[in-house]
Amino acid sequence: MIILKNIERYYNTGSQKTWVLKNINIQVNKGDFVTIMGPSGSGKSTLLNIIGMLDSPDAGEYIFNDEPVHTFSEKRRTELHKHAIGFVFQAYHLIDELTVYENIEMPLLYKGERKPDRQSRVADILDRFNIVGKKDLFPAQLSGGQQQLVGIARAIIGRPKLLLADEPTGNLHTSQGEMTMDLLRQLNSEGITIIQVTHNEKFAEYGNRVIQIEDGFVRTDTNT
Amino acid sequence: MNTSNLKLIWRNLWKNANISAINIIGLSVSLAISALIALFLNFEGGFDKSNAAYGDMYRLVTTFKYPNSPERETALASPMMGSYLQRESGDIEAYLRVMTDIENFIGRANERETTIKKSLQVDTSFFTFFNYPLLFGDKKSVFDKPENIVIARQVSEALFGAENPVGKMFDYTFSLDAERDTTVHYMISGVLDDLPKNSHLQFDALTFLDDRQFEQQEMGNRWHGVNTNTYFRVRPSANADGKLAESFPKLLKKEMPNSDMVSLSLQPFSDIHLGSMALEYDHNNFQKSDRKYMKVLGLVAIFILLISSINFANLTTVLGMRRVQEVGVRKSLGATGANILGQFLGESMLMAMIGGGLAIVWVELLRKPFLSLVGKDVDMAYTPAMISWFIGAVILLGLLAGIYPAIQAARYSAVEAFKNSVTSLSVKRPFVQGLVVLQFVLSGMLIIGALVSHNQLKYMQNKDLGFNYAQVVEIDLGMGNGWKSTAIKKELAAVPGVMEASGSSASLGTLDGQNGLLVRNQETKQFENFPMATVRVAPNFFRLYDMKFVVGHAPTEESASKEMEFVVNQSFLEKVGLKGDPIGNEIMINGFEADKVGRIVGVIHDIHHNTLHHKIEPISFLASDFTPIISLKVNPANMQAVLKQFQAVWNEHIKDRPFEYKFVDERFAQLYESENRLGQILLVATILSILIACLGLLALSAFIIQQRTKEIGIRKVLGATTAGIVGLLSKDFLKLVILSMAFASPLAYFLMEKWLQDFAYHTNIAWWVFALTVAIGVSVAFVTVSFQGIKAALANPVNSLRSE
Repeated sequence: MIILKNIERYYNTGSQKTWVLKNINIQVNKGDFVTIMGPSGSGKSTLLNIIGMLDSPDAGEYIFNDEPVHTFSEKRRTELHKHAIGFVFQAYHLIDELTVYENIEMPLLYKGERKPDRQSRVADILDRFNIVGKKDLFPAQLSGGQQQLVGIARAIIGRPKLLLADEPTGNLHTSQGEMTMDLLRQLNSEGITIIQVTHNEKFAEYGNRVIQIEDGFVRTDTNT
Repeated sequence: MNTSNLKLIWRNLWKNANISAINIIGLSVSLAISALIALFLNFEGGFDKSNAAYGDMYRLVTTFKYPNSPERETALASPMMGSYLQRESGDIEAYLRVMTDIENFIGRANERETTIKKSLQVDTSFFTFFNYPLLFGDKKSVFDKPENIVIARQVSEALFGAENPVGKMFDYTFSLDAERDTTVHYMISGVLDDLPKNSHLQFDALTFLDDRQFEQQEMGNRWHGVNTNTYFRVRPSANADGKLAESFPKLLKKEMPNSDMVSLSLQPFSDIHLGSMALEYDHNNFQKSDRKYMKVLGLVAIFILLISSINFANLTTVLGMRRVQEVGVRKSLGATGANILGQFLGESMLMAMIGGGLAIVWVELLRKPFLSLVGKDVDMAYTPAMISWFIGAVILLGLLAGIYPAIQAARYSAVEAFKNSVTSLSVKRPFVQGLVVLQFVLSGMLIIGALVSHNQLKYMQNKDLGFNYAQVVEIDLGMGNGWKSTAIKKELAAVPGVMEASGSSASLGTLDGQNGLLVRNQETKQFENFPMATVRVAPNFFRLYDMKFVVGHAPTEESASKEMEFVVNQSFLEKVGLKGDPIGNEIMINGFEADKVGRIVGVIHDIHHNTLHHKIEPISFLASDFTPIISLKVNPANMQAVLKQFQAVWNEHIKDRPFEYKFVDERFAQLYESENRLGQILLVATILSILIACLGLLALSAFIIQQRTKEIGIRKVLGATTAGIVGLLSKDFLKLVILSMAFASPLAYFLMEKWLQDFAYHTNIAWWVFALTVAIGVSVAFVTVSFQGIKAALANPVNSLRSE
């Protein structure tokens, strides 16, 4: 599903290049649940952003579902990521001024879906995640775990093939973290490919594969 | 924009309620002020345009170019010109002459009476030349008989109620000479409906202009004496190039003696209201205004609108920058740059529209105070053009204010947006800096303008005019009662509390007009003609007003009725070239009792007998009994009782006018009314602009200081004092304000220097004006910024560091 070939990302400091990512070669198959681990500053998030098409590599090839993403225009990339990728953030990044319902609905708005479709899809998700009663609340009225639940609901409402989660449990208590990870595992079992970044060894075990990154290089890549 | 966006915008406004309120209120108030000014300018600029043919209508302006006299432009023309030029030119379709008949008299009819403020004599073509509707009467026949009179609606209503008064008598009683009264019986032949408020001709009654009244003048005087406003309607576009008047000199030369001493020009009809400040004898120009004054008002409107637009743009930017993170989320969820652009622009547009709507409410609320500030009763109606301008301006404002943050936000990629989630908006951003500077440049210019105009007003009010008019009451009997003046004056002088009673034929401060004065040259012994003003005064006039003599003395009491004794000013001596002893030098008045030779008996120091807009001109005073304007020096105690007695004396003698009096000091203050109003408007505009600019600064500094919370915490932990932190936070802003004042000073200096040139006597712009402006700007900005800064500096650093 994803093939990264010799991906590089760097920035210039004076006349020198400082590497954030160097010589990254990764293949992710459909249905994988990949965990990326590594110390802070090792380039995990940058890698995730590149896979999520929010950022582009300075060099290398990125093939997504047999399409050469690195050759795409900004517009085409946006179109692809809009339909194929969902994001879950450490800080949830819900929009404070929108209700739970409206937050979840937003990706569908940007996809241009019709109102009846949006209503039924959001209703389904609210139902499935058991948060129907909270649909008119604002993010500030929810606990961290509940906010992340909304964040995940929002990420999958567009039926993405790939779900990217950047330390999804980073701001949560252990019990809430476990709940979140259970949910991710369930989604994975339903066929969504997931790539998560985490520091937590225990939560890394939810996936089927762990990639260790250090100083911009892939250090290990092991199946669990 | 979809409903979710609208909702979001609304919630955003609420979330940032303080900034939003500041933003919307500032915007709406200044939109309202600008709209009010625009409505007013629209009214003033629309004068006389209700006449369909105004583009081809003109008023004849006569410029005198007599030797020994400066060129003078007058709104009047010789009564000969209308018919003569129409006959000779071929390009003139119609002419109309209008002459002031009687002002401020009591008319009686139907056993009631009412005051007629102005009556005009007009040609019978009045109702074909203008398209003014008659409520009663027939346009074709209203001037069939010489005794006919057309009255205005309010006069008819005051005398007859709703009844049709056509055919009824209308009487006017006036004094024939010192002893006898006479009554003129007019017959009402028509009632005129209200004229548009923006017509320069306003009057209460019209009578027929009879040419026989000019026939007693000899031919030269008939050509050169100006009596009537003369209007032309020319063949369509005959004067499109503005050169029609160039053909007049040749036409005049055929019959008019000394025709090269006058030149005629055509003043566009719609230009009469705003373009006549330089014209003399312009008494039929109702509440004429100065176009310059309008320009200043327009400039003030633009300044205020600019200042608040800048505020709006700055605050919208601040609000936008707060939400960079949200932009990141949206982009990661699939929003395109265009989506974000639309969202941000939509928000600023909505904000502008709310401001625009609120502005309409303000306009209605502020209408009355505004009109009392400009001092006029005007029709400020919304026209379709005005409404579309307003809507256009609101939309443009929304677009301009929103475009910068919108583009910035749309440009961020999601990753950048996340990285910048603690936004780095600083005062150092050139865009924000530029706007703040521009804002304070405009405010600074307004402060300087207000200070300079205030100084000039004070200067004019306090300048020693060379005479003393304190405690002087002036009572105008009207020209028609001039011969009664000596008797009435005597009775008024006997009222207890009156210290001195004198009189004149014209009022100090408003002496216009001139006549030929023949002065004997001391060397050639010939009489030479000098056109200048001659005022008839009672001999004690000089004592009452405390005027100082250089040589000689005031005329003797007896001379007023017998001999012609003149008092002149120093400028007169210079102008006429009297180098030897002026006392006894002979003077005659050209065309008036031509056989009578008078003498100079005294020379006074130059006084400012006209407003300080004008240089002191040569003037002569002739002792006379004909002094319809009575001046009374009064002991200020018991003023009410004294005035009551004045009225009693008046009622006994004067039948044709209502009793009126004026305090000369108040009248002098009124001479500078337009400057006074301008000063007040500038003051209001200045305060408003500073207020708006400060509101913006308050919001901007609050935001920027909020971003530096952590920095402030760290500094405090490291030992910074509160004062040090406030200084640190204010420094950036104060630099900008000082820079602004540096820009504003030369610009304002240039503009105000130009404005002052209008006054023959004016203050110089003092250095302290600029110092004070800088002080005001800096202190106001400092208070505004440190208001936020102190709060931040006093905060416990533990909290501020934890919050990160």
